[in-house]
Amino acid sequence: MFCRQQVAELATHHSDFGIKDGNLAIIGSGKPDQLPPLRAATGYSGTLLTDPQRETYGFLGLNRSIGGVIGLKMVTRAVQSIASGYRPGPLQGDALQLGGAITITADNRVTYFFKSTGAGEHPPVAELLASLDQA
Amino acid sequence: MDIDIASFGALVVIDEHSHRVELRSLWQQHSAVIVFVRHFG
Repeated sequence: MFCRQQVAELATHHSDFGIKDGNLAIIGSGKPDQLPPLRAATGYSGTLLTDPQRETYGFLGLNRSIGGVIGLKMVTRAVQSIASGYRPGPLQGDALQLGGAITITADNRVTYFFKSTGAGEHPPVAELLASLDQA
Repeated sequence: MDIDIASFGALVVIDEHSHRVELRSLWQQHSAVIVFVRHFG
């Protein structure tokens, strides 16, 4: 449910990234045929990709642990997510994998890097947009 | 964190048509904000 909520939130801001000359891309770890249903569920129309082997996640050192997906914080976020209208869909990807974000400029500079430490902890959209100001 | 962007950019991901996409193509012309989600559920 956290993933759908995150993608739906990014969908509402998709045009803001374009205004700043940024290319927003979302990468997950499920199968390619799971991408269209995610689009339908979230309304996201931008670049949507998957890395079933999670090589990109590993390269960036994004966290993967059971401690990150269970606990009081996760339960609290789950309740908030459900209260916001998001219901959990079937698991499509690695249940223990956590997310993150990176902004890379056309001249290969990294202006932002975020590693999630728990399920439901997402990079704030305002920070993602601000990372384009340093491009 | 030091990130080897050249090596990172050489990694390949898959689009919804099962086409291979080299990561570096995402920031070839404009800055790319790449968000990694936990899963698709």
